Amino acid sequence: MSESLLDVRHLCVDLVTFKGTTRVLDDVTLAVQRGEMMGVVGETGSGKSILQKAIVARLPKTARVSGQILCQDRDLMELSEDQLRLVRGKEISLLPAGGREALNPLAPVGVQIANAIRAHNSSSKRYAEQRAVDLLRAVAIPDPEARAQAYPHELSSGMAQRVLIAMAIANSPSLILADEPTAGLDVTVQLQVLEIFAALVRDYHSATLIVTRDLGIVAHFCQRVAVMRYGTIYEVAPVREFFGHARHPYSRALLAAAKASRGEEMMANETRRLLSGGRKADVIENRPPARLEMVGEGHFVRVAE
Amino acid sequence: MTYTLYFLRKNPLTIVGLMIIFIDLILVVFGPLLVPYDPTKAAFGDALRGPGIAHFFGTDHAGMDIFSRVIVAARLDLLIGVLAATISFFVGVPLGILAGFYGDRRGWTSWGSELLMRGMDVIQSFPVFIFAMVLVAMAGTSVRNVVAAVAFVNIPIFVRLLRSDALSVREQPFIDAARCAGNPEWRIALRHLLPNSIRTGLIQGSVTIGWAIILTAGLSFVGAGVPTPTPEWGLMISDGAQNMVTGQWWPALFPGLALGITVFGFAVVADSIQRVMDPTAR
Repeated sequence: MSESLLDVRHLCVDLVTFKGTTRVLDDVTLAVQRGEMMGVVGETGSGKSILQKAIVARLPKTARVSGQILCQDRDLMELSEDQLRLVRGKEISLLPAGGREALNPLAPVGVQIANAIRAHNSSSKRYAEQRAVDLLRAVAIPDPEARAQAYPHELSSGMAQRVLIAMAIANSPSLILADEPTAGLDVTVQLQVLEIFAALVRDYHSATLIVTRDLGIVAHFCQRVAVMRYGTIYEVAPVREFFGHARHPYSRALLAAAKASRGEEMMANETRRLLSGGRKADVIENRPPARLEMVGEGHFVRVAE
Repeated sequence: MTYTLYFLRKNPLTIVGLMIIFIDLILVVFGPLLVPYDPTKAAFGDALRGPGIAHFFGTDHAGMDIFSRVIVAARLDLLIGVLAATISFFVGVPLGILAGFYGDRRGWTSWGSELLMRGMDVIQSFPVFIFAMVLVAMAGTSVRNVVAAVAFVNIPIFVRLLRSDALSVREQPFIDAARCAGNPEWRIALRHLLPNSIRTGLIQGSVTIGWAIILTAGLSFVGAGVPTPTPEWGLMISDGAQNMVTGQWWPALFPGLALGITVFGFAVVADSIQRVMDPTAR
């Protein structure tokens, strides 16, 4: 049974190195519903990024993986590298962290977007490049015809990030994995880029698994949130529930830290807005993932062991 | 195109390099028509004359006019140097990229890469000169075989250079991002890895032109290159070196200058090509 778009079950990742084996993902079970935006929050090293890399099978060589990653009734773990290539970018695309770093410095951005399109259908070069211009327009890049000819270093980091969004969305994937999509951008640009991203994702009916350290982003854009620490999931909850009644002590600590850094008042406003309507998750799962206990509708918390 | 013109205006040295190559080309095409003397005609009565009006660059120990010889030699030397460097570039660069791209990965391709590199180790474990000499000796002395041997011994250098660059470039985030966008492996190798690793290959290519000519001279010296009276810069340098001891510097200096200037021209132009192609330098 799996109406979920992405269903990660008992995913474990070990890094086997000279110094021994480190478990970086420990029994992670997580589902993403069609069209929803789900946030994954947690501190540095909690396994958020590894989770995304595991989903697209781009883990380092030293990784040993077990568990299931179900997407559209297939287990991604059982696909060959060739089959995975057809999934990457087409069904699941990754919006990488790092902005400009993730673009080839020696190719015009329009060509790079066109290549992403042509990787998945046999459209002509000219058509793909025309489509790339349309995508650049969709991510609100001014004068997209000219910008398509630009090289990555000629763009601001905000624009480079939008180019990456255009590339991630190019084949209208059903799931986008976004890894800190606004890290390194200044705050005003962050919001702008995220608004563009969220609007596009809505238009394309794509689901998003967005990794971030910024609870503000989660409050603003996501319907559900998962808290990760030490490679496991501590709490999964609809966003309104989470901001109102986070159960796990670590979640509360995160919220408290966010309040301290963003200002009490701002968080209070955010929470009030969420509690009085806001966005609501379309599908609420009521099946507790492994080692998590249901404490409310769609709200799961890790039990003490 | 407009950028190329802009670049040339900003970098006059490139124009100098282009002029050197242009003059070389004129010598290649018209060389024998421009010389005042027969470059292979000995005149022992005129041996070892210093540079002057009659003989601009003087004469060598057999009385042959060095000026004429330097000019006529351009044809042979550029043929050997450019051809050998081009061959080793076009063989070594793709092999190096593939070795770097597939090396140290899962699967059989990694074995292929390992095998290739160990093969290169074998080639490089012989002293370059001895190896080239043996190759020519086995295949027979001819310009074609000299070019082939010189090209062959230079291939491992390109493979190694490009492999090490490819190994570092392939770990850059944009390679992973390209893969996550679903780009096929061949496109990642061709469009992402190659352009970002080729820089040192181009520079090495220009240096190899000079080196190939020197190597040819060495081969000629031991009788495995071109026969002695043939005008060839490397051969003239090694012959002229004996006269240096007794104070006649001109038989070795002028062909040496010709060789040095030619190598300089190619190095400058190779560097400029690389910079014109690099969009981040604009």
